[in-house]
Formats: sequence, structure tokens, C-alpha cells
Amino acid sequence: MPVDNVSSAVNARPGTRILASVLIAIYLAVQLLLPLRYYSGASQADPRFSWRMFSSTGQKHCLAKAYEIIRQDGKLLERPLQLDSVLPRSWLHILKTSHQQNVVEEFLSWYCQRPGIVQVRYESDCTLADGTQLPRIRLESDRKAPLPRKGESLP
Amino acid sequence: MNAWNRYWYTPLASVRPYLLIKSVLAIFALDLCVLMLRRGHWYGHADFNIAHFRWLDTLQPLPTQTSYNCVLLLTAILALVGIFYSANRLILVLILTLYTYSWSMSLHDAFQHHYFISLVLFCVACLPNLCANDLSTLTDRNRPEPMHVAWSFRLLGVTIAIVYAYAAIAKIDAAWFSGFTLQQFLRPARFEPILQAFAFCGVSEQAVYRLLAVGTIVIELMLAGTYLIATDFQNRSRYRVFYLGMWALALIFHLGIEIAGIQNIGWFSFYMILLATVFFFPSECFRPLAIGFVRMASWFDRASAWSAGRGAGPMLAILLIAFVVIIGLFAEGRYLDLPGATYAFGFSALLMIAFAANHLLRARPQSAYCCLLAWGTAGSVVLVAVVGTTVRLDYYLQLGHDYRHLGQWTAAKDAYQKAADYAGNDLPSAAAAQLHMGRSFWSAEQPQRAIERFQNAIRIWPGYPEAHYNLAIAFHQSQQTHKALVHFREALKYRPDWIPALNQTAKILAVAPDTELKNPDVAITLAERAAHLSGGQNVDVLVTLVIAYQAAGRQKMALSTGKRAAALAHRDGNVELAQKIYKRLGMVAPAP
Repeated sequence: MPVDNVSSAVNARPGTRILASVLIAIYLAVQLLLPLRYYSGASQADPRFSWRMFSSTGQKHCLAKAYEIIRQDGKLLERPLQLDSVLPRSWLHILKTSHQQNVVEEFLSWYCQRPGIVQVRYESDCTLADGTQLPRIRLESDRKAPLPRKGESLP
Repeated sequence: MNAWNRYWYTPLASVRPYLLIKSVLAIFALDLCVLMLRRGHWYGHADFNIAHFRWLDTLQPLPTQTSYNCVLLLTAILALVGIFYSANRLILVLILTLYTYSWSMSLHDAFQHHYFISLVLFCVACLPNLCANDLSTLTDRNRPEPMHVAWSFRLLGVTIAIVYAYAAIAKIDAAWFSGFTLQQFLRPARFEPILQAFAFCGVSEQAVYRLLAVGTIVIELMLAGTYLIATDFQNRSRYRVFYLGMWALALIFHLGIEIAGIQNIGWFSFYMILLATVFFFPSECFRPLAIGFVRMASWFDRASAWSAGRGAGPMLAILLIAFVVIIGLFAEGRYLDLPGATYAFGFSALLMIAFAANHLLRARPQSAYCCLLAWGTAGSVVLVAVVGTTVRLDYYLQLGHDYRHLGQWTAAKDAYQKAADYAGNDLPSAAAAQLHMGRSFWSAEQPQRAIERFQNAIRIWPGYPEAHYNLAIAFHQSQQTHKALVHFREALKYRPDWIPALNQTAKILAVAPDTELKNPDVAITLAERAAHLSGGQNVDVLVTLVIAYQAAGRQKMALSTGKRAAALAHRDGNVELAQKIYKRLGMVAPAP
């Protein structure tokens, strides 16, 4: 190969080549390790950045329910929360199908700030296409402590 | 030279990275304008958003349609500038940053191909800064092909290999191997002919799915391996067949995904086919294309030589062109009529001024002139891509649906009006916009205006069953039973098995006070058909059937059907309706 037809800054300066090699190594490490976060089970409900395309875990059916406790006439009243009427269509889809805890947490924190809301509870059960049941998401959040927590009962 | 250096720093044909930049930017710009922009309506509703990263949520203001569309359009203009002018590193880094921000600002863009495209853009931004002149020796066959060290080109190959490898690993489970998962993804209508062809050869449906499932993993692993070793061996005749074979495999695999309609993942398949072409084709095949670019560049150099002339004339001409382009960009932004479009075109005008001024300050008037022309062309291409497709129609139609869902009727009506304005010759969409506008007026308790819109929809598309049905409901609610019946019948003419239309028509025919209209026998026929179509599980239809039987004096049938309807209402927890049915039948509801 003739040398005179080859050009590049990397070729010209050895220091640049070292820098490029470090960048390549870091990039490759991130690309190889980031998906492992999902495959190792550390973040199984969050398939982002894992290149999980068209796999069995992508096919799931979820059933989500939410309840709100409101203050009415000095009393606390628990009632089912119609998610359709409070969330935009696109978010409704994400909330119901993603089965991601952080999405539910953000929704609960957001909804709790509404006037009259004392507490919100959210439950979601998802089943994979092969019948495997994913761990249930059950979170609640209240106005005093808007950060959601795993909840078992309401006052 | 050790193995590491040999792998990353062996020179490769310059035409590959050059075409990679140009082709990726071209498909990317169109993707943004034609596909991603349609999704802008998702943003800014109900003051709710979740970014891909929590830290981003704390830093950024709430994303809106304006901010999302602005980022997308500005990125598209910059990508086109990268094609027409120069894909200089600053422009490429801007494109990478803006695009990565566009998908990471919200979980709305959760498909992984956004992340993949960001990685592609990162590798493209790290490529050597090539221009058409770097390929000029290609026009002379006696001179060696120009070569460049392009480590990020190989890095892109490794990235694609990692993507394919993980995509294959993710599929290794029993459900995938049995073909069950694939069966869930495939659209039966599109896949039926293939299944029939296999059945003709004696291969069962299940075996076909199993074969495809295993084949998918094998193909993905093969492609991963090929991208890892993809070097300039493509030009050597003994490897040429192998690489062309792998290109054909990638083509069949990704086109197959599109044809089978496995999942809507944007233009991911087309990006992958494009990348396979740039990586696997012998570089000689790109020679005619590259020569075309070189000739175009030299022609343009000659045509713009006047701008490099001395004196005030060329400078004044450049300033005049800059003024025209700036005005043109602002006008294009306004004409697009999408939230954020004016800002996007305005920002791009500012960037253009900065780039052109930099050239002028460095005494490079010809480059400044090229920069202005490239920016002007880029803005026009974006305009044509958006206006020439159904982007604005879809955008406003979906935006109307979003507002209606949230009960914001006025905003919904405005959005539907714009959808109707941009429907053009797409008559079904124009009719749909009128229909939805009518529904919004109806929900906003403006029945007369709703009726006008439904009538508009029918005028545009006389065979639109939903428009006839909604108009009939509106007439029925306004006590105009004759007119209602006409339109229910029209709806059934175009959609004979539509249960709600059958049910409503039967109800009117059974209970109409006007003897001229009342026809219990026809009502029974229609209600029985609706009951049959709904599998006898629709309480509302069964109640209509009860009413029709009673109107025809067939009390025995009314009683048995009524009991079934009441039982279904009980099962659904609608005790009130169950009691009403028993009351109608003259019975006392049984104790729960």
C-alpha cells in the first residue's frame, strides 16, 4: 500500500493515537457492560440500552390499578383512580405497559401534588407471553411524603 | 504495529467513511422530518414528563411541543447542511448533542434505535473530516485509491456487532426457540402467504416459526461476526463473494422484518441496510458515486469562483444572499406552522450567520458563499419533506385526540381544524378531521355545530359510516328521528355488521312513536343480528332485543332474553341496570 495516499491526524501524531485508543477502550467497555445491567437481573424491568429487541420479555400483558384517598367533608374517602382521565394518552400507555418502578414513582409524586389528594396507591401485575409472572409493583405516595414507598395498606 | 493498532489504525478506502457520513446524514434528516416530527404532539400535556435520566429532569424545563419540534427541526437542518456544505466536526457534534437530547428529554422516545442512532452519530463525528476533494484521485484509475485511517469507522462496525450479538443473546430462551414469541410479533395477514407456501411443501406452521426463530439468532450472530472482521478485504476477490453474501443476508433479514411487520421501530431496518452496504460492498462499487460527488464539487467550485474575487462587489453580493437566505429561513419556519418551527429556523439562521462570518473574517468568501447556499438549500429540503408528506395532518389529528382525551375541547377543535386544513387530497383524513371536530363540538355541548361538522365529513366522503352514525346519534338526541334513521341506515349500508349501528337502528324501529317509522319485525331482525355478532354477551343489545320482542308482542322471547340480559348485567356488577330490566319485564329482581 503506498504511503502517500494515506492521511489522517491520528496517523500523524502518536499522542493523538494514544488518546484515541483510550477513548475506544472506554467506549467499548461502556457498550459491553451497559447491557449487562439488564441481563444480570440488576434492572430487569428496564430494558433500555440492552439491545433486547423482539425477545420474549418484550411481549407482556399488564393490568394496572390505582386508588386515591381524598379528603371530602372532613372525612377520608378511598376510590379507584381513573388513570385515563388524568394522564395524557401517551403516558397512560407507558405507565401501563412499561412495568418500570421509576415511571410509577414519578407518576405518584406528580399526582400527589394535586389539590385534595391525600394518598395514591398503584398496583401493576404483568405476565410475559410465556406465562411468567413479573414481580408485582405496588407503590403508594402521600402528600406529606411524596416520595413513593412500597405500600401494603392504607390508613 | 501490534494487533490493537493494526485493527484500529489500518487505513481503509476513504470513500467508505465519506459515503457513511453523507448517507447517514441523509436518511437521518429525512427520518427526523418525516417520522419523528409526527410524534411532537406527545409533549407538554398535563405538565407531566419523565426524562430518560433523573438528573436531566432536574436540569431541563418541562419539554413542550415547541422545544421538542425545535430540537428536531434544527437537527434536521444541520444534518442537511452536513451533506451540502461540510460535515465539519462542530456541526456533527451539534447534531449528536441535539439528537441525543431530543430522545433523552422524555421516555416517549423509548425505542432503542434512538440510542443506536446516537452511537452511530458519535462514530460519524469522530471520522476524519473528509471532503469531496480528498477523493479527487478516484477520477484517475492509474492513481492509487485514496486511503484514510478512520478508527471510528471500525468502532462503528464493532458497535453494530455488539448490538447484533446482544439482540441474539436476548432471544435465547424456550419461548423464543419454540417459535411462540415470533408468532406473537408477526402480523398474520402479511405472513399468511409464506405459511401457505411452506404448507404446500409439507412444512407445518409450528415448524416454520421454529425455523425462523432459530434462523434469526443465527443470522444476527453471523452479521455480528462479519462486522467485527469487516476490513478492506471486501476488495479482494476471494472475500468479495462472502461479504456480498452477508450484505444480501442483512438485506433479506431487515426487509423481512419490515415486510412481516414485526414491530414498528421506525426506520431502524433501513439504517441497518444502509450500514451493511457501506461496510460490506467492495469500495470499487462506490467509485462512480464518489466520482459524481467529486465532479459536482469541482463544478460548484468553478460556479462560485466569482465570490472569491477582489473588491466590494462580491462582498456585497454575499451580504445580499445572506439577507435573502435569512428572510427565506424565517418564512419557511412560519410556513411550516408547527410549534417550534420558527425557533428552529431562526436558530439555524443564527448558526449560519456565525459560520459565514467566521469564513469572511478568515478571508474565505467562497466558503462563506457555499455555507449560505447550503443552509438555504437545507431549509428548503426540510420544508419540502414536511409539507410534501402527511406530517402536519397526522400531527394535528393526533394532537386533537390528545386534547379530547384530556377534555380540552376548544384546543381539540383547533387542532382538528388544522388537520382538516392540511388533509389536502387525502379525503378520508379530511373527513376524519371533520368527524373528530364534530365530536369535540358535541362534547362541548354545541350540537348544531357538531351536526354541521358531521355533515361536512359526509360531504367529503359520502361512504363514511362513522360520520353517518355520529350524525344519526346527533339527530336522534335532537328528536329528529326520521333523519336519524336515514343516517343509521346509511351507516349500515357501508358497514353492515357494525353492532352499535344495528342496535341503535333496532331501538328506533322498536319504540318509534310514529307509526310510519315503527317496525318491530325489522327491529327484531337487526337486534338478533347484533346479538349474534356480539356472541350474546352485549347487555345493551340484549335489552334492545327485549324491547323489540315486546313491541312485536312476543312476550315469551322477551322474558327469556330479558333474564339473560339481567344475568349479564349482574355479572358485570351493574345491579341498577339488572333491576331496570326486571322492572321492564314486570318481574321482581331476585335477591342477590
